[in-house]
Order: sequence, then C-alpha cells, then structure tokens
Amino acid sequence: MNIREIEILLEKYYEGQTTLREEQILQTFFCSDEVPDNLKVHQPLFRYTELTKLDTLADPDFEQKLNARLTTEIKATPLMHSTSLMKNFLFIGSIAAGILLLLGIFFTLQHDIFRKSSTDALISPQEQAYAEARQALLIVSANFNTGIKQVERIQLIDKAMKDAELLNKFYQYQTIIINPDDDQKQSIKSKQP
Amino acid sequence: MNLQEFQTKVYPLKNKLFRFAKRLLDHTEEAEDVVQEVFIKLWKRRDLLDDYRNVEALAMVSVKNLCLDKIKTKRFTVVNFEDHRGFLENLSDEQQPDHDDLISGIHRAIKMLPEQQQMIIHLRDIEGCAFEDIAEIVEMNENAIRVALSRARKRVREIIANMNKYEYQGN
Repeated sequence: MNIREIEILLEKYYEGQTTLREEQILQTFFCSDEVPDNLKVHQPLFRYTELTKLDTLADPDFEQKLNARLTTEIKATPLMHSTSLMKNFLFIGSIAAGILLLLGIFFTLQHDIFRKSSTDALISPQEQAYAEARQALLIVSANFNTGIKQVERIQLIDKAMKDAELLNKFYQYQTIIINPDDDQKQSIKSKQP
Repeated sequence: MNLQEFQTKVYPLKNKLFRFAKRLLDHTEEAEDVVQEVFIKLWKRRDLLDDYRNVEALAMVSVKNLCLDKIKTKRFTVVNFEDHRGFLENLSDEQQPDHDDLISGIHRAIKMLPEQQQMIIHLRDIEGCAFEDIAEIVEMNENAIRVALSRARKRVREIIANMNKYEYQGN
C-alpha cells in the first residue's frame, strides 16, 4: 500500500465513504511503524480506536451474579407482570381522577360566571351611553313629526296673509281708480315739494 | 430460549454492550449496571428472542435507551477522565501508547460531540459495525449516518489539530 493510496483512503474516511475493509487497511497502516511524518497527525485517532477495542467488562464475577439474578427472575416474572398491570391501573386512575376534579371545578364555577356576565360584566360604560343616547334620539325623532304638523299650519296662515296683502293692495288701487283726481292731486302734491 | 442458550448467545455481547454504555456514560460501574439491566430485560423477553433477526442490535438499542434515560434524569455531568487513564494503565507495556495525552485527548474530543455522533463514531470506528446495523441502533437512515460520521471524524481531527498547536506553542 503506497502513501498516495493511503491519502486517498483518508480523504474518503473523513467524508464517511470508506467501507469496513478500507477502514481496516487504514487501521493496520496507522498502527504500524511506517507512518510518514506528514500523516502522523492522523495516527492518534487510529491508535485510540485500536486501544479502546481492548476495553472489556472487567468484573470477574459478572456472569455469576447475572446467572443468580436470571434464575430468580424466572420465578419473579409473573409477579412483575401484575405489578406492571397495577402501575397501569394507577396511571389511568390518576388521569381519570384529574379529569373528574377539573369537571367538578368547571361546573361549580360555570354557574357563577354565567350569571355575572349576563347582568353587568358584558355591558361596558360606552355601550351604556350609546344605548341611552339612542333612546333619547328616538324620542326626539318620534315627536319631531308631530311638531312639523303645527309648523305646516303656520305656513297656511302665512299664505293667507300674503293673499290678504294682495287684497289690501287691490283696495288701494281701487280707490285710485274710483277717485283719480283726489288721489292724483294728493300724489302730485306729495311729489311737488 | 433457556438459560444455557441465553448464556451462549447473549452473554458474548457483554463487552460490546459495556463499551457502548461506557462511551455514553463515561463511568465504568454505571456502564456495568446498564449491561446487567439490559441482560435482565432481554431475559424477561426470552420467549420473543428467537424471533428477532438481530439480537445484538436489540441489545444495543436497549443500552442506548437506558443510557440516554440515565443521562436525562441524573444530568450525568461527572466526566470521569481518570477512568479512561485507569484503563490505559491496565494494558501491558508494549500496548502502552507513546503519546498518552493525545489518546486521552481524543477520548475527550469524542465526549464533546453530540450524543448521536458519539454513538455513530463509536459503533463504526471501534466496533466496526456495518451501516445497516448502525441504522437499526440509532434509528437513522444510512445517508444521515454517513453525514453524521463524517462530521464527527472531522470534528475530532479539528480538536486534535488544535491540541497539537497548543502543545507546540507551549514548548
């Protein structure tokens, strides 16, 4: 394996594209003594993985202890099953109790909340003012029309007054027509000075 | 599955499970406890084990879930570097690394990665798992795993490069 090939493999290695075989090649290369200086940087990582593979569960009594546990477990298994059932029951029961409690609180409070809101809580001062103003304006508009009728009658009187004025003028001209001299003299006299 | 079958089929997984648990918890005793707990769990489901195509992946998933639970509930912040050095001392002289600092530096560098990436780089580089097995254990698709693996390896390389720099500056 020449150095160029190792460099290519390293490139692939850091991209996560090497196969297990290729990684094995890198591993043996870097654990040998022929690593050139420019590649020495990568050596510790491969040395580390090589060493960590040797780490084992050191406890010499591990299997013995485990055997003892497993044989007691054979007898205990059905018991374990029932405790897990109990746990389930407790879990569901506590959820149910929680829901019931919430429902209880909701229904007791609901009564108070709705009564309050129907009387005053919902009407703000602005809304109240608006309602009152509207009431007042309605009264005004209803009575306004009855007032208009009176005003119309006054208009009739006005009309009649104009007719009466015309009549008055007619009477003036009538006296002029009937007594022109009198009147002319009078009018000349009045114009002369 | 009887006890004898269980011992021959499932017990050999113990070192692999232990290393995986130790990777996530960074604590030898806790990792041993997790392995024991997983074996007991599997034993309780022994009647189903024969149907599983991949008991190893099932065991690894159990380890993963237990460890992540432990990390979440205990806020497992005690980082036990001494532990790692301790394991290095157990090795014979010729296995002893010449640059101890860099090796434990890598351990710390991996510990700094997000848990998902820690698991993936561990499963691939230390256990040599195939991508399809990793996919089953971490519940991701192969492409996402390749991306995460690449990120993890590059990040470790970066941290090591920085450590080298500081070392040279120090000298």
